[in-house]
Amino acid sequence: MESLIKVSNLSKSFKNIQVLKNVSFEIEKGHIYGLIGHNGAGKTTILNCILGLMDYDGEISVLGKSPYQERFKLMQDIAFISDVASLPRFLKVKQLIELMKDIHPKFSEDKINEFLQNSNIKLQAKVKSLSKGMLAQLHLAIVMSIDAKILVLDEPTLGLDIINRKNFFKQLIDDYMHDGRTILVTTHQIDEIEFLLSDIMFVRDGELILNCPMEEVADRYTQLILSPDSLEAAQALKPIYEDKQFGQTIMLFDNVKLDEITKLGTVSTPNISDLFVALMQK
Amino acid sequence: MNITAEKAIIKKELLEHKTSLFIAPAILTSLFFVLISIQMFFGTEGVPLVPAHEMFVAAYVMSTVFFVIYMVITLFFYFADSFSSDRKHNGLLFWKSLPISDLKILGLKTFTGTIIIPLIILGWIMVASVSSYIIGLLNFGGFTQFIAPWTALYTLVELSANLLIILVIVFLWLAPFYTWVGVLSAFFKKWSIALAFVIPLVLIAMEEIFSFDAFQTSYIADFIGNRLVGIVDHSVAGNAEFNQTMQDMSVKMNFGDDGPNNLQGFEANLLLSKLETITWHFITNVRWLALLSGLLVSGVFVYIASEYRRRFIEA
Repeated sequence: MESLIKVSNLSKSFKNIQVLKNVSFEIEKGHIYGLIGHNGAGKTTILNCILGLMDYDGEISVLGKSPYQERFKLMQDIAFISDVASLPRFLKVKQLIELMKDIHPKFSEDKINEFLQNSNIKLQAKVKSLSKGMLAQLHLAIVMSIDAKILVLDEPTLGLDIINRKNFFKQLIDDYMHDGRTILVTTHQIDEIEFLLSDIMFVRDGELILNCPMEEVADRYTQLILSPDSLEAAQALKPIYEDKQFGQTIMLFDNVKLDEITKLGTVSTPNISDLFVALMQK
Repeated sequence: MNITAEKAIIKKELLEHKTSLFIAPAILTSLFFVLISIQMFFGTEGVPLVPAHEMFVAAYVMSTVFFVIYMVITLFFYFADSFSSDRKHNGLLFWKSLPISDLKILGLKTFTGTIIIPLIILGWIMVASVSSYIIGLLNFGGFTQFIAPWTALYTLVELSANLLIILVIVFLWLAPFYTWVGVLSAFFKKWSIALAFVIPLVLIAMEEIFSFDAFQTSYIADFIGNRLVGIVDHSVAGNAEFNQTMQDMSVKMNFGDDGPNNLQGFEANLLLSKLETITWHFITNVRWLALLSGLLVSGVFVYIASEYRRRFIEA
């Protein structure tokens, strides 16, 4: 499989505080990666390094180029929405589209007009007059209209209500998820994007603690709702996480043999948010 | 060569600063038109009757003086804003997501400031002049009594062509001052407006203190002053005759002791007849080497600002 992004031993410090510690991973073509972490874990810093927005220690190769040295060349093939980026407020939507068409060689005016036809966004509207949801929709329409090799979304639905968040991901799935697209997305709403991910990466305190395909999560991690009187036997198998919910004890296991724990209670595959909570507290 | 992206960035700059480049000049020109019309048709004294051609050229000269002053101030604020304006409302990450380098963007902002905006202001000078022509037509009762359109057009083109050459050279000469404000803007945003003056003043003060020659000579002040107004080398031989011409004209071009209402002393034909001489003299006596070195300094300022934008202005 072709790797579009190669990150090795990526480290980054801000004023003597190390926020990334020897992070290494590869992003393969046609995969959809979820980069998940708590606030301040280093997700945005990783993305900013990949996008060439800041200097770093270690090595990063994006489409064979050094992002920090050749950022503007890379932007022909990468589209991104940052968690804080905002579109130029003084322009009208139509002027913004014309600007994109003139500046970006891979931007399609036909595509964005098609996307916007199904929205409430008027071409003559000023960007500053749009609601938060419309802005997110417009920004997504813009990046989806770029024939990019990699799409990077950094908390793209931050600050949106649940309806707008659903609409955002629905539009992403309906209009973009074809032709082997490669997407790297960070979000706090893990449950809302879990179904579209092919791979998952967890970042904790600047370290990459999990990086695997989604199907491997099911093979590797097991959730157990304990039967009465099996606590000691379950604890002997060294769960990575233990919690009590509604009077029941729930445990998560990493690489445990199924036949060893099925007798201890109800076994299932943990969802990503449960796994996230478990690994963040490990 | 495909320059679509470059044109788009320039267009974006003009849209972003449309208030100072289009709306304010349009209001000022309309105000000028209305006030002169009121004075002409309802004033007790009215505009004095002067030869029509004189009135037209005088209006051009007046609007030139007004708009050039307007432009000098506007460009200062343009550079104080434009080198950091992409950072407003977290917009910089959007601009950084585009396949265009920081150096090119800031270079195009500089090009817009030193070439495109002077051209736009020249356009407003011409619009104001056409307005004055319309007022003249109304006052004189049609072009059979006033100057014919083709005469006015010829005069307008002749004056504007000469003014264009002078404006472009003058604003290229002033480029280091404007890019100085620009580079400060990239680092300090709105503080650049004050710092553009404070930093040179502090340097001059330090020079005065450490040279133990207080209030006598400041090489820094002399250098800045020379860079501001020393575009033409006045020591060139043969200038005496030209200077005499300019002095004669400045006498004859004055609008009288009681201000611009009295146009009796103004001789349009003298100005028009000397126009080419003035322009040619200006071109041949510009300190080109100093101008080019100033452009080089401007380039360094723009490069520093672009590297700062590329390296340090982060999310």
